[in-house]
Amino acid sequence: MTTPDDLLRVEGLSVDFPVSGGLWGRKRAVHAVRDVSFTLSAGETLGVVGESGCGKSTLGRAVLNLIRPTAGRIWWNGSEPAAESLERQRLLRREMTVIFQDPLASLDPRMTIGAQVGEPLDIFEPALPEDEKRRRVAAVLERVGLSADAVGRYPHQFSGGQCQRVGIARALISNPRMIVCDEAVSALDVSIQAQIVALLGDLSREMGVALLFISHNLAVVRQISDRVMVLYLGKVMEIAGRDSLYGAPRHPYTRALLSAVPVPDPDVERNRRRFHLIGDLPSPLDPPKGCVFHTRCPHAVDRCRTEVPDLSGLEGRHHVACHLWRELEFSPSPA
Amino acid sequence: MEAEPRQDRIVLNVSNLTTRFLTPRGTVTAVDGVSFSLAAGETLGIVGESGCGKSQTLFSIMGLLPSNARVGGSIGFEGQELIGLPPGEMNRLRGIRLALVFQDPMTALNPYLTVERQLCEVLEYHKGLSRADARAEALEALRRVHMPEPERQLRRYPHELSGGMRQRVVIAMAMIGKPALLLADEPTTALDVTIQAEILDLLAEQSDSGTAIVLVTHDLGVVARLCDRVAVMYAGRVVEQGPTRAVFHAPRHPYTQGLLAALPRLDDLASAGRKPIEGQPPDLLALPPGCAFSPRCPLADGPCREMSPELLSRDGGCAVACHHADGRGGVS
Amino acid sequence: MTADSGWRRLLRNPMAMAGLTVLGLILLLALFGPFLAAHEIDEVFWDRIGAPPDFAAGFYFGTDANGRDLFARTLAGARVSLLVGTAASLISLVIGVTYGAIAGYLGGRIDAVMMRIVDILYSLPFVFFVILLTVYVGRSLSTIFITIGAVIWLDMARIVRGQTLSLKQREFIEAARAFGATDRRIILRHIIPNLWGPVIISMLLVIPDAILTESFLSFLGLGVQEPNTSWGVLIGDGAQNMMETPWMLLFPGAFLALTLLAFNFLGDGLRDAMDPKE
Repeated sequence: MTTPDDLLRVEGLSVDFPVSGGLWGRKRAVHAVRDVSFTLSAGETLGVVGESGCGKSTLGRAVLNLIRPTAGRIWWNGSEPAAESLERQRLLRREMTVIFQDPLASLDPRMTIGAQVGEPLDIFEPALPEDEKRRRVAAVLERVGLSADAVGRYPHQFSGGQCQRVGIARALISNPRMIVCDEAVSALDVSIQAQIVALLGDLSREMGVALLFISHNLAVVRQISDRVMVLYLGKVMEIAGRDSLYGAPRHPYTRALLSAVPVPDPDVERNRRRFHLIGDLPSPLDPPKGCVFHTRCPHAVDRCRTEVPDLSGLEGRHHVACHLWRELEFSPSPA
Repeated sequence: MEAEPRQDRIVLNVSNLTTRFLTPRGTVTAVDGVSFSLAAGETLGIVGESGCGKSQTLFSIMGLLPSNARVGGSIGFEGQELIGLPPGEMNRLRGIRLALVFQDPMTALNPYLTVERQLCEVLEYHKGLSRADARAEALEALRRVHMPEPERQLRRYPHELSGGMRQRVVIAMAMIGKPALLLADEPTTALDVTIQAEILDLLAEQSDSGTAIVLVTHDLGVVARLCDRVAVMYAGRVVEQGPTRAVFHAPRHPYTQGLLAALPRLDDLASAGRKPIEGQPPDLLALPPGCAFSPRCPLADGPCREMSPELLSRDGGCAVACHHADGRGGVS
Repeated sequence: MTADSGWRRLLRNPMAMAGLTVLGLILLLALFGPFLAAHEIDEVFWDRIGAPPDFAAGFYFGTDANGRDLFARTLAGARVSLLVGTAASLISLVIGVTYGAIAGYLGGRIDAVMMRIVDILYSLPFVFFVILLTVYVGRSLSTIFITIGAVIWLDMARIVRGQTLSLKQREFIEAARAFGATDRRIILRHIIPNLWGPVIISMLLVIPDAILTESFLSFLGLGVQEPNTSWGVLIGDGAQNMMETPWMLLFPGAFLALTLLAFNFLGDGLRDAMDPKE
């Protein structure tokens, strides 16, 4: 059921991409996202982490209605966009916007900054007078820390960090209720990355915008998120409040992930315990039976190879999809 | 290990390396007076953000620069001067005494050759081994990088391997001539963190066996994990250099301090207030007078905007290029 | 704003300006040719068959093998050739770009059907097609326009479709879609402006192609009819006697070469001017 403060509710979402198996091959499908459920409240930031091929970007695109899910339902603000007309679905795009990974590639090279930032206004408020539109573009550019003379310039005249500010301005101008940040700071240098993360955090707080913050960078996700969801091979492994997930990770995959991230402190690095994973990521064309993680899990038992674990709730809003979480030694901190 | 490298085992001695590129818009000084030396078994990390010259430093050592580049200074490798070395001799060094690992393993692998052919070619070409001997050695090289099912992998093509396995093959190729020096340019940036951890372990093993490593990376965590010493670069110059522990625990250059303060960390429980470095990255064609970091530096004053600070040795084996860094550590 | 800075960049490009000036002069010559020439294009001077240039008598370029004033005929030919070139580039611009952009952007079955139509038109034997047309429409300048027009946009459509397919993969197109832009808006505001570079280059290939096709058709006797003429016809005549009367090839040939060169310079300049990265 949908509670009133759920801005977004995703239930049992799956996305398959058909792959042709050659002339005689049987039809196969990449199972990019499998049976994912979560909610996002107004103003909340949900971090989505996982390694390449875990389906995090596909999940973001499905939520944005840029690709059609194979199964599952998505509620937005209490109603189901998929049940409405295409025109209504398009109009929803002023309420949920997106920031992409590559700041330069996601801007049209032949359009001025002013025209790109103002484009959502042209689309959704075509009756807006020209000077009012100019005023709003200038205001949003100022809010993201760009000077007003950026309006007449082109994307290639700006650095990556500044282009990402333009991207944020474009995502903000229609006063959205949710922004999907798809690896929004991954292409940026550390010093600029910190500026952009701080800006996104401020904006989310001030304007009450919910963020679906998709990233492979666990440290950045921790910095900005209220809750965090860990994906592996298209499935949710663990979802919990930020401090609960980072302070007391329960799933073996989350622990391995956290222990693999190098910490910028030589003393900590020398004395760290690491949870090593076995082997490589299995093909999403042919994911393992049972728990998808069992082929690489150091704790896997027979049950893991046959039976798919449900997401079971711990105290609070901590959920973990592992048969063994009760038995596994509790480790309070990955560091 | 954390003092100056022992003189008798010096493998690489770079002094006042300066690399300029002649571009239509003017001369760009990508590497400006970089000096360091490296002993056998030692790992030096070069960190900095895009455009700081860290990769160009590596390519200058390797002699792999485009034709519009002009290199000055000195690069001594096992007692031999590399600058001005004829291309033929440089080629003989590369692949045997000097090896390179790139960010993208596919740039180092030929997509049309099996793993066996790629590995054996080096051996047959440089060492004149027979085919059977080369194959045996290639197999051994794959075992040394902990490749699962090495016999099977020999028959496969690069596109059949995962990113992590490809990078293992590249490291196996690099190490097959038992090089004295391994130059690694962002070797784990394209990999997932769990795979990155394995590749970093692998590099640490190479270093334990006596190979000197220069590791170029933007990731301070990787440096902390792997490197004995670190050089922090900004706008083509080394701004701080020293033992990793000293630099990470008591950074003296405001840029190093800023980087460490800006980086979100997993081990820091009060992670909320990371402090970004304000301002934009430097434009190498229009560097400010004086210290290149001064427009972004909270400490910048008159002298910083007029005179470029020299990289001066301080105590604890560190060197800092800042008018505000005193001799004892910390910024006055 | 885009147009303003683009024009300024174009005006600062000396080669493009030289090209534009030459084209302007040739256009003026073509338009005012009848007033500048001392003789009519079809007036035969029996005493001056294949004569070299004679300024005093007003035969600036000499006469042709039938004793007609070559200067007057070259300028008349310019009118036909420029008209054919302009018409062809307009057709390929309007039909080719729209057709290619729609096929490439919509993709799938629509793209497949649209491109098969292009393949079929391509595979029609050109000369046979022309002969059929002459039978039904008759020999005239409009036959040339219809024939050239029917096939000239095919290359453009293919080029534009290919470019659109690769543009469609670019992230900024997905961004536009994510921000609610309609297909129409994406094609008009994002795809077509980003196609200018390749479109202008192929337009430049189209113009000489059309001018040469016209001369080929005229040579077969299917195009321009005597006494009217075109550069293609004049060059064809001149080439037959190039040893004895070189001026008959030299003057129309120089005009054609100069025009094509000018188009090239102007095209390079336009392409650079339209790229904000320059």
